[in-house]
Amino acid sequence: MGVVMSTLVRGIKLLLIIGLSMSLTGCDDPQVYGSVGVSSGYGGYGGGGRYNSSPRMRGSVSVGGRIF
Amino acid sequence: MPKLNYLLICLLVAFGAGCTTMPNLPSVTETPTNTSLPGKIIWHELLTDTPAASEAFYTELFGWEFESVGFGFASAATANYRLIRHDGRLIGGMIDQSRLDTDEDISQWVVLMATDDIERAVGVVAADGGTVFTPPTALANRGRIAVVADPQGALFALLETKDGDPLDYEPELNDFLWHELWTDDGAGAIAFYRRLAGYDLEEKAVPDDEAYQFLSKDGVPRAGILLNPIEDLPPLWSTYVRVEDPAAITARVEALGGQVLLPVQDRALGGQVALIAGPSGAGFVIQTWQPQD
Repeated sequence: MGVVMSTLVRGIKLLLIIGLSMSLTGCDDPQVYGSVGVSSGYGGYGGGGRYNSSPRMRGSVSVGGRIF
Repeated sequence: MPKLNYLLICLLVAFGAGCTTMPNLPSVTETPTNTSLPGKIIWHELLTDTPAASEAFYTELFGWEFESVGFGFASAATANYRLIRHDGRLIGGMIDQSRLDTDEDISQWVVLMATDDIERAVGVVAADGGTVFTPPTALANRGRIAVVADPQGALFALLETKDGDPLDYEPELNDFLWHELWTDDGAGAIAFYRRLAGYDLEEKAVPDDEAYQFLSKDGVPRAGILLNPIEDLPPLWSTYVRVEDPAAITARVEALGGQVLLPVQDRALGGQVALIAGPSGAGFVIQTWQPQD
């Protein structure tokens, strides 16, 4: 009986430590985007605001947008 | 067994299982809706290589609130995910692309489209010549996600929620308002998305133009289809944010690290729009809009 209890306690400790360890390893990173290789295309206009340039796109979105 | 060995083994197990385990993201709704709205854009994720600057940009511009997620002792600090709220309502998430396994600059807003059968939807993408970047993957309480591109290369994600999709509501100022596919092949895109989500195609006359085409489901407009209105921009899903005064917004954009890509324009059907980008280069449209009676 003592051996069984001791094994049980060890098992519970093991599970608790595994749970704690997994909470510390940042396993909730959403890596689902890691294989994406598609740029939005906006970067071709100066990489956003990072270069302090002011590229303007050519076009019009006057027809688009919500109409309801 | 010495306690130190216990700890070592457990850490090895944890890191080994590590990030092959399911990401522990929360549901996209605060409370279960148990409602499926296939074809509706139900979530938005910002991939950015400038997360701190992006957070400041959207906080200052729209008053959005960012918060960490996580359920462990340290995961809230280490998780590469920040929830975005507007007036307390969950509207999206932000991911630091520099912590992803990609060398590409993929900074952009990604729309997540609801599906009630993600296996079938991914099958349609593959069969029609699209790209499946990530096959259906479980995200704990969020449900199952697949990251794909349509046959013309427009990136989006499919999400089969676990607790139901967010219900429709009237977008408030500074909230997401509308979604539109900018495509080089309207007919091809319409055929693909109708197969994907069972949309109906509708049109509305536009002054001095042919018509504005949009996809609806069960009588509810879900997304517009527009021949790519921007020169040299590849096909993409464009996200609209409702604002009160586009000029006031664009006047602040560059000081906050973003860019005005298209200045304020009058819309053919009334109101105004402008195309701007955040600090990482992720573009989106701002639009004035009044609820219909």
